[in-house]
Amino acid sequence: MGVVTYSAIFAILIGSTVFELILIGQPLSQQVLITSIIGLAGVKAVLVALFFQHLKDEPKAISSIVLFGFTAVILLITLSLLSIAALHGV
Amino acid sequence: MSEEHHIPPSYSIKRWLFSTNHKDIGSLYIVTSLYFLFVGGALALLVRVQLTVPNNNFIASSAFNQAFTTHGLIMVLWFLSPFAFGFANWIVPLQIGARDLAFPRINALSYWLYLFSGILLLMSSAAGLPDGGWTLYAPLTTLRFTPNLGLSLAAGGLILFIVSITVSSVNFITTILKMRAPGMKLMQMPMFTWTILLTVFMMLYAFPSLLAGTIMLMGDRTLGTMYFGSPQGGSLLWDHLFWFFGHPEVYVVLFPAMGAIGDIIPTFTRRPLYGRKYIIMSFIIVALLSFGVWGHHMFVTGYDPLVAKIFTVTTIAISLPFDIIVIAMIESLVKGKVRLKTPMLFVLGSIALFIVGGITGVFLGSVALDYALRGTYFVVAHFHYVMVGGGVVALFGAFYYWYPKITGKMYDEGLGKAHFVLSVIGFTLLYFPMFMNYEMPRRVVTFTETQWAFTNYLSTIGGFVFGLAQILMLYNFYESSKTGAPAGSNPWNGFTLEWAVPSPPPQNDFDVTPRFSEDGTISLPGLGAFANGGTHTMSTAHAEHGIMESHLSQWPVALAGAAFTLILGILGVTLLPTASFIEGMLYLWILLTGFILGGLGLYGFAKEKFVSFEDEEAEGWPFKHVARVRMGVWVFLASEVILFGTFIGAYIFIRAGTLDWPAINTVFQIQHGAINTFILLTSSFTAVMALVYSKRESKAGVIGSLLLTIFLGLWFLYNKATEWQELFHEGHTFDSGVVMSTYYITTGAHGAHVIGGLAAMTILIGGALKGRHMGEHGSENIHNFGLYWHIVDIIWIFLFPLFYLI
Amino acid sequence: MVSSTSEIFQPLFDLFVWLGILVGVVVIAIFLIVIFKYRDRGSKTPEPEDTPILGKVPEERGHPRSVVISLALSIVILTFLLNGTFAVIDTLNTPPSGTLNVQVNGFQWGWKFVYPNNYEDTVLRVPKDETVILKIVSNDVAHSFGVLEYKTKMDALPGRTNTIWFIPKDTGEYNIVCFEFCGVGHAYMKTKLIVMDPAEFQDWYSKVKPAEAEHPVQGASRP
Repeated sequence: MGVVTYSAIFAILIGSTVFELILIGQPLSQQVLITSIIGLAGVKAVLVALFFQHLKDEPKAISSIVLFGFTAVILLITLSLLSIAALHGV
Repeated sequence: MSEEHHIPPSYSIKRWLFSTNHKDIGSLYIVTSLYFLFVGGALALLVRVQLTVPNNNFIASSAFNQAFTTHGLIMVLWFLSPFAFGFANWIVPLQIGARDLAFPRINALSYWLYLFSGILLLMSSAAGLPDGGWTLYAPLTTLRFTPNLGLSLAAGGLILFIVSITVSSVNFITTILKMRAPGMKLMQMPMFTWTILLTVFMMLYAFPSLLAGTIMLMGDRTLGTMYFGSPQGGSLLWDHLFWFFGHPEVYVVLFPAMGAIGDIIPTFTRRPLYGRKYIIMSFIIVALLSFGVWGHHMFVTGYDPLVAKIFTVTTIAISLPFDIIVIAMIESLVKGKVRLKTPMLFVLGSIALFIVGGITGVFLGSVALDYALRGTYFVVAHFHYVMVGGGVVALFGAFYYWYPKITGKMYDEGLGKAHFVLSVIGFTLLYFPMFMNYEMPRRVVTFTETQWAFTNYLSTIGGFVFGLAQILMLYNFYESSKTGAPAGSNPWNGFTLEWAVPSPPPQNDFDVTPRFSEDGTISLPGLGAFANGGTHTMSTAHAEHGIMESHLSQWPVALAGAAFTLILGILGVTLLPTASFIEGMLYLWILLTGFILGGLGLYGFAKEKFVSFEDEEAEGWPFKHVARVRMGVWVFLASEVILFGTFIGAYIFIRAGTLDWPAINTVFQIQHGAINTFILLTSSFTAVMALVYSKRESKAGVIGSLLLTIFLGLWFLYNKATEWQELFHEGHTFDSGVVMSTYYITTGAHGAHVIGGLAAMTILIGGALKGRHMGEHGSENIHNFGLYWHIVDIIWIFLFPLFYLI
Repeated sequence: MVSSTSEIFQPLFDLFVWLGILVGVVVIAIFLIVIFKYRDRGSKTPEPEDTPILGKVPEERGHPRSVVISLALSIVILTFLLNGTFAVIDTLNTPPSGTLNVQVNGFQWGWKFVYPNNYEDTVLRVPKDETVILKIVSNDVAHSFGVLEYKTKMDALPGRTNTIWFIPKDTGEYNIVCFEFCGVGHAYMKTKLIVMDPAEFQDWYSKVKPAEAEHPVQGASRP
């Protein structure tokens, strides 16, 4: 990958951060806002991983090792949250 | 020091302090863990004596609580895994035909961190050993209910221990996945290596949640944060974080034992393992599923019934792969020639005990039965059957099995069999009666109920029989190491590669790297095929590659010592408000020493020319083309994902229970977060530019980009510090409640990672000034640093919206 | 049976115990027979043909059939057990409309029971044959409220309210014990559950008033 790719990714990262800042000023429902802002963060993270960390050039097995960790921690967050959901009505 | 290629003799202190050879580290692990076995065992006997008869007054309640808590911590963490990893260190490189682990100095560092973590734990005895149960249930462990310094020291020990476990996992994963003998497919690996691989993966993913939990606990105890003292976090939060680690941990201590069983059975039945493929698949399924069953430890915490049902199903389902494993192991004996030598006796005994432990585990998977059984001696009996019966007993078998390889001497078979018989009798007397006490609450210092008297009496007798039997083992091994008959390279007619080298193996294990061919034949280039079970004789010459590997480094022990000193210093600093001037100066001095020692250690470690074994042809599917260090960094990053995922998980958990979470831009000013986001994103770009320049061999470009990255990192930290200061001025301090707790601990841990990155860059610039890190090959260091720096960036990408935007 | 909860527990526990013993005895018996039958008797036992030797990866052997059979058997047994569990779990979790609601406060180290009329006591008195719903909380650390003979328990956690319920089926005194380690006084955190005849209970309950606590509650104390 060359400087052009890196610069483009960098521009997207900066741009989407600006977009995040614009979003929070909009009259959106809380749910839409949270989903889109966390979604944007996810996109940024994936871009950094794929291009800056060059994950896209590594064997899939490398991505799997990281992704399993990610999945496990999502499971932790989801089930721990579900376990108290009834208590808070969330 | 690394210029020396021959390890000093075994009587030399230098050897045991500085050796990085996997066999020496293995021996250190085994000896240290045995010491902890006897400490933990002595504590257990104290507990048993107190419970011999009802209304006993042998020890006071506080001493009793310290005894069973420390017993649990030591046995599960400081004995079982390190004991298994003593063998893993010794045997795994031999079994896969590697000459050492991927990162020998990191391996030594793991050991020394483990030793120092154990010293911290034992040091706590001066201030009161931990006494909240090994599960450290909150909020009992918070400062309000356990004010003594002992628990803080032990928690510091726990942090060091987890660091040791994590770097060790990275090392073993890289070794097994990338350094197998040429041609050795994953499915051709011996069972012990297989289970160690799965064990280190479970460790890698499970321990970071405990690390995050322990850091939060330390925050609560030293800074006054409110993770576990608040109703929003509290007991349930700790339970989730602890058991997310805690259940995989059960398999972490069990798997190495079962893997050893998988190698010992074929050797002693003279037949290949039955259904090997299915056994391996079952182990993989257990390892995956182990991350989805933790909730069965929390069935009566009153959490959501639907979640309880999910965990009931997953927990009962996880018994199925174990069923396949046990049945296949039994079938392996059919039509064999079962030689009942000591290792095999222990292995067979272990399988029988594990069957009982497994069946009773199904009871505890049922949420309905848990209403009655939870917190009783039924649980105590069950997990001792699994961890002692299934785990320790089989590992003793492994000890007898590999003892001749490690020492070159044969143990005394008669004493070994006596040890087995006494152990089984003692074990059964000790733990079986506990099943009958399925009503008796655990962790009580005494009881009045006469219906529990007889069973408890039996348990105590069993405890002493079991405990004393272990002295027989020590005596046997000690005596035999001096007077035992020479064992020869393959006393058991074993078939795995560790039996192909002399006992004990020479410094570099294999003169010639073994090669696996498609049909499973293993040959030694230049020496021909193995002569039907014969051994290849070794010389100390390096016929094949002519490279002399390094085996000594003083930096691992120095770095571990620095980490130990730093923890003491940090704990000391938290005592400053109440300390006298002299004490205060002492604490600050300790902290400073830790920093200086750490800096010197890192510098020396980075600067040292350390040659480790690398074979171009080594089998590394599917990571063949990923360089070793890069692979290690990626594996490490997976643990970072869990660590910060857990911090974020705790934040979400607490936020879900906090109704008055501050609106955006009230407490946390968006501008601070936004500016820092731009800074960190830019720093990722400059870090990537350093890589570009390094590939172009532009020294100025590399140094310039790195300096710019350092500047951005410092700017980030400066902004962070300013922000913290403002928050403090507004009265939002560490102890202002759960919102600030999650903020300070999470962004603090992130900030610490930024500092780590700055240190790494400083070292890189030092190298770049001398013209290193250039070109396609040299840029690898810059690349690997980038991996770390970008994950720090990725974490911030999530922290920014979580704290500032929503 | 002394309570609705022990009535639920006992048959399920028996099912687990008998199936467990059956499986355990059969498997361990087969295991021992196999060990005995195929033990090494020196030259009388020939070396098997597929003996693993050094320098060769052992042959794969084993038929999926045996995996399938043992798996099928286990699934049948576990389905039985899972069914048994699921049949009762909803009952345990959903209290019927209760006649007596008592709040249980766990503290280091003792229990406090608060009745609907705000009467407080350190022993729990309940009427026989009526649904008792307990709302369990903790004032300090984690405890677990359990009635030994009733085979039921529930954690008492600070900041959360947990619920269990039971119907006492017999009058008499039962043991309330703390099942979660809670510090130095954990072993002594005991009290009594007294099940009374309904008429007797009504009589007693109508006479007690908040002010007239017969066992005044002590604050948290360390022995």
